Amino acid sequence: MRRRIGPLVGMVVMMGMANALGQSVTDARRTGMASYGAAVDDVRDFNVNPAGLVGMRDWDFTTSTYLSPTTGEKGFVFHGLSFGKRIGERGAVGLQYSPGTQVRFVVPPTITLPPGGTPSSSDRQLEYSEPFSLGVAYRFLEEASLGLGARVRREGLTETLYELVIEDTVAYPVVTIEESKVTSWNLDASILVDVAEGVRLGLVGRNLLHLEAGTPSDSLGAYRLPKDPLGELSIAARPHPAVLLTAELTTELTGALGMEWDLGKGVALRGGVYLSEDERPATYAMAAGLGWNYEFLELGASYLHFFDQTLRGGSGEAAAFDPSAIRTIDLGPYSADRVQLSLKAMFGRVREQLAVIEAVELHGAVYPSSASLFSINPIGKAAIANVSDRPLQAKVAFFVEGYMDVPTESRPVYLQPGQRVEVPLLAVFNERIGAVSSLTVKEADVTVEASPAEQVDDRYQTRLLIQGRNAWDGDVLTLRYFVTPDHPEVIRYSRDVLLQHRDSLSGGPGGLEQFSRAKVIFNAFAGNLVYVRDPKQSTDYVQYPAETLGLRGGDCDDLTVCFASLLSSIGIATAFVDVLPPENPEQGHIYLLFDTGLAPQFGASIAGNAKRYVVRTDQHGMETIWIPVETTAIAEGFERAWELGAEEYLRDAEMGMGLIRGWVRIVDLQ
Amino acid sequence: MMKHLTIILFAALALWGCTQPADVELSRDGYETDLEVRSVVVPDTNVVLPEVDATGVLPEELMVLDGVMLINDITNDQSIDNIATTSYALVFLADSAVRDLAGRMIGFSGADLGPVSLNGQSMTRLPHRVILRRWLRPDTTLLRGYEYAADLVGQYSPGELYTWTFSSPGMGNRTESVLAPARVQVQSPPLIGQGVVDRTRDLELLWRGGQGTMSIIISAFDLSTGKKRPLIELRSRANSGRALLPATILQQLARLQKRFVFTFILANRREFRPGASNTGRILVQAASIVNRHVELR
Repeated sequence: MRRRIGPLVGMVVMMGMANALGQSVTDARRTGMASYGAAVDDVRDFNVNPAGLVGMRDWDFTTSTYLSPTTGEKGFVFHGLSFGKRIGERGAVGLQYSPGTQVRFVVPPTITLPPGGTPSSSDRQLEYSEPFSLGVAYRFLEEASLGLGARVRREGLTETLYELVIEDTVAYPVVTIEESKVTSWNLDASILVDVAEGVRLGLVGRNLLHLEAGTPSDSLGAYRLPKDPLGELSIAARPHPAVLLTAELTTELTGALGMEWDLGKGVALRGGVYLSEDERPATYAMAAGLGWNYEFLELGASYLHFFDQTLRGGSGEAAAFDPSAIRTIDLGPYSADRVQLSLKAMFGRVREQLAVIEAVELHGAVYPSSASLFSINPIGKAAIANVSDRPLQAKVAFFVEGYMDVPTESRPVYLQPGQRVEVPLLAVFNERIGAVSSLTVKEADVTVEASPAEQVDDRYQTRLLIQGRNAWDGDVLTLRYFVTPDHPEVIRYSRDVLLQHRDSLSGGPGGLEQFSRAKVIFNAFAGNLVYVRDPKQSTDYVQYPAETLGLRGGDCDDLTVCFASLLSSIGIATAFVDVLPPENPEQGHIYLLFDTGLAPQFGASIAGNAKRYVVRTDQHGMETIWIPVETTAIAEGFERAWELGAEEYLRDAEMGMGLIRGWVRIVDLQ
Repeated sequence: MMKHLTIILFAALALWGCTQPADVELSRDGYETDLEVRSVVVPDTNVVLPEVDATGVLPEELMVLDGVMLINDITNDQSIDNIATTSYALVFLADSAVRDLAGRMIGFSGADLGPVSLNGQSMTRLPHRVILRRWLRPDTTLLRGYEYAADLVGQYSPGELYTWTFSSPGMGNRTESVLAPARVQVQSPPLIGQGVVDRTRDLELLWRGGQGTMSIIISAFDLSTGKKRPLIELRSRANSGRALLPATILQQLARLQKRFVFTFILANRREFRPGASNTGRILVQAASIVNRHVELR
């Protein structure tokens, strides 16, 4: 590749010789960076290096305006607009209209002619402009592109000529206005080469061909701008992914240094200095700028300041005027400080891929009963990578059609170019997940969005296992999600029982109301329900309380969940006791504790044997008596269920030191 | 939403950009528009009028005046080795027209004002000479009426108020005053012998002297006849002591002649009417006049 582009580089360098007119400066990014030759990557000021047009994605549109606070301009001057279009995968074209790239020098008259006053506002008007430019670019190698540019330049002179017309004895001074204009095309050629990772080299041969229309008068001939060829060498490098440094040098020994610092969130800070050995000081101007992009728009602002203001206040001496010193119309010796605003909009195929999903891993199936957990706890993770050349902010979204209303997004993550991170996937399911009656397989979409465009950068489809609504993963912590004290069936059932026994409950001893209510509910519960084996011959199936009440039966999980729901529905705190003996894990079991609200000193009013109950401390430091109930003994009544519960608790939790050793867990259901 | 935002932003940018780029004004050595260029009309008349380099008054003005009261200080810079200065006072008030045998008006007789004093000093009463056209009878004059003169050589005093006192049947006792302006000193254009004016370059006119209005009469000078022909008058608006004459004017002048007289006239002027029933005008002027001969190439 190096051998193939070598002759081209040499040709462009050799063509650059001496003085020449440069190009317009219509964009805030270009102004702010000062050195832009190797940084052109779209339609913005493409005439600096037309080869940069290939950086466009599809359609580009820019416009800009400027204000010169040190001159007499009353407001912003419309500087120009440009269009660019990508042609195929390798080509691009750009067109710029820049009426603001214009300077007019006026030599005011020193005399007036009455009557009629001043015949002309000036003795001489010189006008230079570059209102149009055209560029084409072609990427002939993956690392190199070639560009051709053409700039239309207009030069005009309007002179006031005085004549003495002698009639008889009178010499009348009269005035005639003489105009002379010439329009020329100046052709440039350029290349951009990615010479190394993050390093780009630009070469421009300017004014390589000069075509002219119209014959300038002798007077205008003395004021023509230079049109000799010029060479420009520029380089852009990224020492850090967020920093772009640029430099350029011309064969005329002018140059510039610039930088662009990506601050994140689409904001870029720019700065640069302009250099020339003909200027004093040699670092004759500095610029600073800001850019902000959002989706397909980019706003730019810049300020250009010249250190020597002698000729930049809108006036000068006619005798000292030297048109050959005007290298560029926008950056000439008479150019003033300027505030520049510009806007770039991209249309069409505007997105480049910034991030990719490299892998997706789900932690397991979804259990509808605990599906709400995935709004907090990850359902899986996705590995994403930044494939762009700039830092990104990325969000990963997870979506299951039908069971989620909208994709659930992760928190934004920051990625340096080339960086790979794993992002936890969260999921907020809708209520339809609770209606899944049996094992179902659904498609799940994982997407990643990366700034600045904040659109989907990649999509990864995976298979998600959704369990039936009664499925349980065996963890007592998730069993509590089956406890539904607010379900209308549960509330109605517990209220009905209490209503039926209101007479006996009202006559009970003081302080034992909760205990009595729990006992009544349990006994009523026992009279209507029976303990059965797990209908699926598995511990992974749990009935919701309403189902247990409707079916009038269930296994230990179902009955424990149902009784806990009933007690909770009347304001009695409950807790699961999860027993998983280490030597016999298959004998794992769950039963219930409920709070009597009775202080320990009144324990004798419940049972003479303190082993029949458990004293627990609540979150406020209050100690109360809790009753263990083995719900599988439901058919034998409350006393027997209590007795069995107490025995199991004494044996497993206390004597077996299950609580200390961790194989007995108490899970509060508040 | 974004489309709307785009439209708004573009509209805003377009609105902001309605101003034209400011012009860069290239001044010529800091000169501003100062000179008003007027053509000089030489009256088509048989009346022989005194020349502007002697009176500081253009012939076309003299033709419409009923009289003049002048204090003139005149320097003639013919060349670097031929500089002469003179000063005088003159009072001439027209009385009646003088006609030749063919009935053509050839001048006016001067009114007899009796004793006329200038700053308390009596002016000399002289017979007024009416000159016949030289092509007809060279050097022939007619004496008609009077004029009053005083030699002020060595006495012209810039800044002094000169006062005439006289009486006449029509005006009664009258007193007229005028302030003498500063004595004009011309630095440019160069004297003959000092330099030649390049017609291709703007000509810088430099002078010193205030307390009056400045006008510069450019006259073509015929070396063979010694005649001067006033062509254009340059009136300085500001009397700033400097003005710039565009090269294009010089180029036009150079087509006519090589030698010119630039008459710098720094004058204080006013006019009065001789009487309630008399609509004529009498000019009262005190002027410092420099006639600089210039070679133009």
